[in-house]
Amino acid sequence: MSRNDPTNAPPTLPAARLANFPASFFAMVMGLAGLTIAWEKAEAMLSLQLDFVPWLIGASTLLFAALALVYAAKIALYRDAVRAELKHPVRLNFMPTISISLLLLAIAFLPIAPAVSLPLWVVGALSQLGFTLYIVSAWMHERQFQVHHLNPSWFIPAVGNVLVPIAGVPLGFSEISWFFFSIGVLLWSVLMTIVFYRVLFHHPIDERLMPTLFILVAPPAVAFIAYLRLADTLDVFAQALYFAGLFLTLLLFSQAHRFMQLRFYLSWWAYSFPLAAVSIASMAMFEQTGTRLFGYLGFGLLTMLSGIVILLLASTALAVRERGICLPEH
Amino acid sequence: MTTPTDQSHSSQAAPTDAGAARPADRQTFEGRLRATAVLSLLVSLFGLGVLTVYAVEQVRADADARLEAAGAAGGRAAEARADAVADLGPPPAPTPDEPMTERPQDSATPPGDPRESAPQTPMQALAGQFESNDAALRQALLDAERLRATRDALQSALKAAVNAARPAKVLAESAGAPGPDAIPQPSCPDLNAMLRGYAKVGACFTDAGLRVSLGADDVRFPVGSAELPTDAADSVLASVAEILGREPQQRLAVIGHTDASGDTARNQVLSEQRASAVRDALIALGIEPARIRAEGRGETLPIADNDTAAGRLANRRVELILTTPLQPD
Repeated sequence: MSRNDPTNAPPTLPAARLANFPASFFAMVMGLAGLTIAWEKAEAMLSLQLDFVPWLIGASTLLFAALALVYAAKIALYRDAVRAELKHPVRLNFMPTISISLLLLAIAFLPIAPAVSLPLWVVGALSQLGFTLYIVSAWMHERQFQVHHLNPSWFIPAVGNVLVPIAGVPLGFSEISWFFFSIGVLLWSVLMTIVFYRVLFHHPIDERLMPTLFILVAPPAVAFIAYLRLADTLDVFAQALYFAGLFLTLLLFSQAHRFMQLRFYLSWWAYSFPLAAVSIASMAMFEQTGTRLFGYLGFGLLTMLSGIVILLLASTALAVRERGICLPEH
Repeated sequence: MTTPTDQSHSSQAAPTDAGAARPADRQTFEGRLRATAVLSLLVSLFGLGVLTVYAVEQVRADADARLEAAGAAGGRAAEARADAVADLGPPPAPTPDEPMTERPQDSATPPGDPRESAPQTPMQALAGQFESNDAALRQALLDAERLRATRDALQSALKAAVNAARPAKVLAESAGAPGPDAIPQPSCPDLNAMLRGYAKVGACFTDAGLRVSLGADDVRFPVGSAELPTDAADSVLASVAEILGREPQQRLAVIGHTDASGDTARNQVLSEQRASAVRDALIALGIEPARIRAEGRGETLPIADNDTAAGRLANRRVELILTTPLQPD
């Protein structure tokens, strides 16, 4: 699909298109891998064996490998373009989608192949730390950011950190997992405050950036799953995390009609992932409490997410065909 | 508002927007239409998911109900058997000391009638004894008849219980619940050797059958691995294989368990793999594959506290359940 387009493009274009290949393509892996993990969780919850789950794992892996190959070519051939991406105020925040993809694949492989999971996790966690350090430094020093520059894609680097414990704890890295968890929660609380400050007292978030609000759901939902791994108990903090995530989900669903009228961007893929996170969190809540409502909620969200991913795949294919992606300055 | 952020996104949509030189109201209408279509699709997908979980739960509940019914049928069979034993309890034949004269006489004549007891000639006494003997014989015949009926009822109830248990067992296996395995039947070919064999492997009698628990001392799997250590075959497993070789009617269920650390799904897979590894080792020791069933229970059936290292060590185990099937399958 999309991974083929640099080679399929007309002869005059491929070079330019490769140079403009954005890191946010890895958001596709996030969405697919999130869906895969959610189905793995549903398999465990319903104690069923679903035949398509290995195919989902394979598809996510293949997509990641193909995208990584293309991006590696971009690094080799257009170093300036990569450097420009690292300086870009918005695209910068999509760089950690690469490390997040690795961490998600590590989680997806954990039940079936722990030996594959470990190297994925190590590379993912290390690059996540690198991106976090780089991006937070950039926030602090490199630019004079104004309040209205802030948008929820800033949460992506934070989410990556709370993802680390989910595979990290079963792989036996408890302290390292707590380290990343703390970074994620720290960044989340700070960013959450800034976002609400902006929405309340400054210009509301532009309509076009509205879907990015969905990523607000991801940190509490993922942090809840990570905290269950770390603390292994459904205590006050765990419940507070889950219900905060649930509240944000409800808040955004109550505004669904606004999102639906917007056009498709590649960055939307990052926002399929928060839905997967809240679905998995609900199923984990069902396992912990035994309250069936959470099970229903989790699985309902999962089937809905599956539909969204199919729509996103179709939209991406369409956008690639219409050359709406890989253009300069998008 | 025009911020660098917003510009970067609006220009992304430009190529797709460019071709749309439609009137604004039509565009909004189309937008709304699309929004409504997508929204209703997503809502119905959500509903579909909820229905799916509900359906799965119903199937599970149905399976549980059938399991219970099978249990109840088994219970009825046991009751019928107890009744039959109770019927057998008082000897049906009369003894010379206590002739069973009371019952038939009571029914024939009201007690306390002075005319009956007063005149007792030897002839009358003999006649009375004969009559009572006759009554006792009739009673014994009646008892035998009832006993036969009870036996028939017992057999049919038992058959029903076995039949009911069979589908329930299949369902229970798919649901991951322990199925009511074949009821062990007492049979004792060379009890001495059997018991010595059982004692050697540290077996204990349970409702499910004879259980041999392989803890860390017997079969030590590396953490996270299902690779059977090479020395395992020489130890307890060899003794178990010996028992199975000596008692061809025995079937074996190999059940893997893990501790609760790590991912639940992974633990499930690991427990299955470990059970399979033990099964393979027993097959390698010459046991027919058809007699050994391997299954994993993951972390669902802990026998000790998962919060302590000692408890987790105890929970990481493989259990062997020896059963003798009631009827050969």
